[in-house]
Amino acid sequence: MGWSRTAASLYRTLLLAYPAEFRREYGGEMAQLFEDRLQNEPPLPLWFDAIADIGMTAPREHYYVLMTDLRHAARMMINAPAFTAIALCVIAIGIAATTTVFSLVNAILLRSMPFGDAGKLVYLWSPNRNFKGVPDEMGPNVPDFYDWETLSRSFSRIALFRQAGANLVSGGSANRAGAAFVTADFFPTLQASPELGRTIDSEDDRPGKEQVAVISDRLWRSRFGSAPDILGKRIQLDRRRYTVIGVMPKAFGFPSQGDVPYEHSEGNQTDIWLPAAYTAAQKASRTNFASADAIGRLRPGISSAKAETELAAIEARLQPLYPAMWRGWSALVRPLVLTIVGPVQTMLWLLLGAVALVLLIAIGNVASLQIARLSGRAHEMGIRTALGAERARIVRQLLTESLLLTCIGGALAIALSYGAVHLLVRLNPGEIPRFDSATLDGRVLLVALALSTGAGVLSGLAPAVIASRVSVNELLRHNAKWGMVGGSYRGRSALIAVEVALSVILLAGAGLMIRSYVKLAAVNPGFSGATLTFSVPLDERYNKPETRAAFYKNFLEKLKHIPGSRYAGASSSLPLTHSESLAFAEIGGVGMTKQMVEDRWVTPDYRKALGTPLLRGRDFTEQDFNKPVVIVNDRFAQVYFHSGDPIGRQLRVGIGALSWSPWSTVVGVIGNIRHNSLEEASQPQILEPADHADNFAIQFAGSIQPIVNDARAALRSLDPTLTLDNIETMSDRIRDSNARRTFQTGLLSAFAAIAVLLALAGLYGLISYAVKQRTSEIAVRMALGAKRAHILGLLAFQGLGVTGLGLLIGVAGALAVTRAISAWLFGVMPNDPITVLAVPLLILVVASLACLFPAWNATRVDPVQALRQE
Amino acid sequence: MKSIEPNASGFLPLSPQVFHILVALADRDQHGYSIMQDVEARTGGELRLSPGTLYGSIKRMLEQGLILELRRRDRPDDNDERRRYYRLTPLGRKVVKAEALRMSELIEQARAHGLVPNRS
Repeated sequence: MGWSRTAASLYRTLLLAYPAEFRREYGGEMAQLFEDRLQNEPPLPLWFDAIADIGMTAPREHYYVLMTDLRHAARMMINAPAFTAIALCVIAIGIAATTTVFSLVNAILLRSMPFGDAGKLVYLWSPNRNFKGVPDEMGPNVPDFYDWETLSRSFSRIALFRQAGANLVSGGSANRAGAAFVTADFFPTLQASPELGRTIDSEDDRPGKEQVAVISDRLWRSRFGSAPDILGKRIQLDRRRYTVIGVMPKAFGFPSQGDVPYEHSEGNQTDIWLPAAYTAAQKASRTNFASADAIGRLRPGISSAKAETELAAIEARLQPLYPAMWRGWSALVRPLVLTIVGPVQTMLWLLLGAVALVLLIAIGNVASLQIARLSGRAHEMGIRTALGAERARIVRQLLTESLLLTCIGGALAIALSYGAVHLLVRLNPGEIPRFDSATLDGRVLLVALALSTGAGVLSGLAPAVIASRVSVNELLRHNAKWGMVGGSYRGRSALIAVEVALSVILLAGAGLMIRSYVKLAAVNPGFSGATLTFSVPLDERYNKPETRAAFYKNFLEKLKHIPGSRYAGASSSLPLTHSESLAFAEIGGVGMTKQMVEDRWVTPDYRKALGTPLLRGRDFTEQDFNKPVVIVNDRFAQVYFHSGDPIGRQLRVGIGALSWSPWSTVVGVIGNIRHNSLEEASQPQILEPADHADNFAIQFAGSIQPIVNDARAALRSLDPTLTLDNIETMSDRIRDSNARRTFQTGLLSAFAAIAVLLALAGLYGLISYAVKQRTSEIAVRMALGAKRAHILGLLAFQGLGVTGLGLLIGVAGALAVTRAISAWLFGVMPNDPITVLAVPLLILVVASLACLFPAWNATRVDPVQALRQE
Repeated sequence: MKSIEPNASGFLPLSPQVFHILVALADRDQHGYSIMQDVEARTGGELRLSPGTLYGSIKRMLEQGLILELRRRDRPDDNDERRRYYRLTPLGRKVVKAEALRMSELIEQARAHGLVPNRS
């Protein structure tokens, strides 16, 4: 009957669910049985039965095959301990390195931020194109912000915040804590809810009502022992008392270090949020500059570009409200997440790319090892094929072996990676947002699993294909191994050439980074590393300028008399501290400076304390305070006085054309100081004389700790509720400033080293293997009188041919790839001739050694012995 | 008490499916479909072997040497060309006996505790 034939063939199709071997053995029987039952049983229940049966038993048959294969694979691994150990190490290193870098990418770029729908959050900046040399990322002026809030339609909410530090006082001593003054919409804009209590609302954000504080989970745990009755408690910040109204969840610390460009937060996150409580006057006055950082949440369907157009138009309408020379403010809207992670995003993807190359090399090595081992198992494969094993069956068996290997390697890798992540977090370079939160979470583990499986399939594919192409005849003929030799040697050579190429690319990248690092280390920062620096923030008791001045003068005087202090000075701004004060200058006979210049107030000994050389003229003296004299740096002299003598020239300082200082005489020229980072050239700088400032520098002799202790004691003797803040030597500041580069260079170099080692091990293995295969040929040649050098050359040439091919591809690749990292290079070009030459040369030398060693062993073979063994 | 052969005891306890297949082959050589029918008839329809379970069990019983597949010339007279016939091996016989003995000992113990009615 037609329908029963159709039913039978449909059933046969369903049988495809079983493993091929099982199907071949019993498929016919089962189909026959089904047809028999079709005659005797009603079709509907029969079909139901058949489908349920296949659904239940087919997976079980696959499971049996898998278990058989796994047992076989495990036996194979145990029987070849050296192969297993090497392959496991190689793959574990590859996967561990990738997993570790991925855990950073995950923590910094992928894991969602502690804000609701972070993609809709934006920063609102208000640049002024009239201020040259000033970054665009300036917060809006407070009155503009309030007008934006009223007039704009692009945002569901916007909020202002201002970062500050505060002394958290308890029991007569004080600790610095990162604080932020925020408007009522701050938390709602971020869609951040407290874990306890409530956040700041519009009732709190009013002058006179602002004595409330929201604290971080970290502060709650560390300072208040997670006290459940924290709500309603009073805390003292500087001289004021605040009532705690809420505790934020653990992940929330916005703004954290690095969250706001060009701003330096105290500590690495914010621990206390206080109401900004702007007064009506502050909200309206456009003559008293007060700005703060602004964030907003875009309405659905509004892009940041659209919002920016709207804000810019509003801002343009507001310009007439400013005094004529202070106009020119505009608006920028930038995605918040991108702003925070943008600077490290490319670096992380680069590192992930580099580590992916390492993993590829590791996979190549494992594949090469498996191919080498396969030729030793040619006989086994031959017998299995002769006994009727299908090719697919052999491919499946080999893939299972490979997968078992890489999955065990993956498990080892997770252990390794766990240690590596902890180590990295401890070596935290700073300045990378949320670096500390890197962990092996579910997503990272999933990636590790995917990498292990992927590595298993990739590294098992080549051996499986080679094995399945070989005919039984070839395999079982005379020596049993020749069938695979040709194919496997070519396959391995190609793999090793690719490995060499990849390691050239990595090494070139690392080489350029190292060269940049060396160049950077040679940069003269313009100050001595052995200078102790710190600042002393004051609270509102010192709001009167004369109280402030008196306090700082007293303190500086005490510092000068600390034993071991050679020079002590103070400045309005220290190098490498992310603080900046800029001003325009007008130069007598030249006119206004085209760009803003660095403007500092310094006490007489500040230059000596910092260790900056005096190039011409003289230092400030105690008598210069309030006198019209200035000192400029070398860069200023070169840009504005060219070759002429700057001493005696006149200049004045101010913002815009307003508030000019009196005309002053240049009395000295000092060396250039790198202020923002060692990588940025020094800017023109003006120093003005002062009798006090809030940042201190001490040039000291002997060890540092007694000096710090004495400085602390000196401060305590003046006011026990104040603290020394940001205590660091200038070498510490240099190290911090280079931290990201150090981190990046260190990791890339480590990856390159691993890559080169793996590639060399692969090369060594390949040549050893080739030598083994050619033992009898070598013996015959030697017996016939070939010179040892000739044999050596023959074998080494074989290895160097592979290396040469790899180098060629690698150098071409490197030239293309290194261009991608040109933004991270300092003082070297991407096609830096030294690196481009040194890297291939280095690889060639070590590759020669890796080739010559096994070749040398081959030439020491006794021909008679070797031939007898054959 | 009769001791169980050590090599047979390693297979115990048997799954009901394997036990019934072995019992079905105890008297005569059979092919798959007749084993199925035999088991179903003997258990009064309680145990219906599905083809997947039947051939999965047969595959493993062949591997374990409990049964063997008959060569063409050894097949019984009602030989159906398309079918494969299976026969109990001496080991298979030992194993099924050992299992039967094990179960009867269990029954005896249960009976001693009054859990099974005495034979009349």
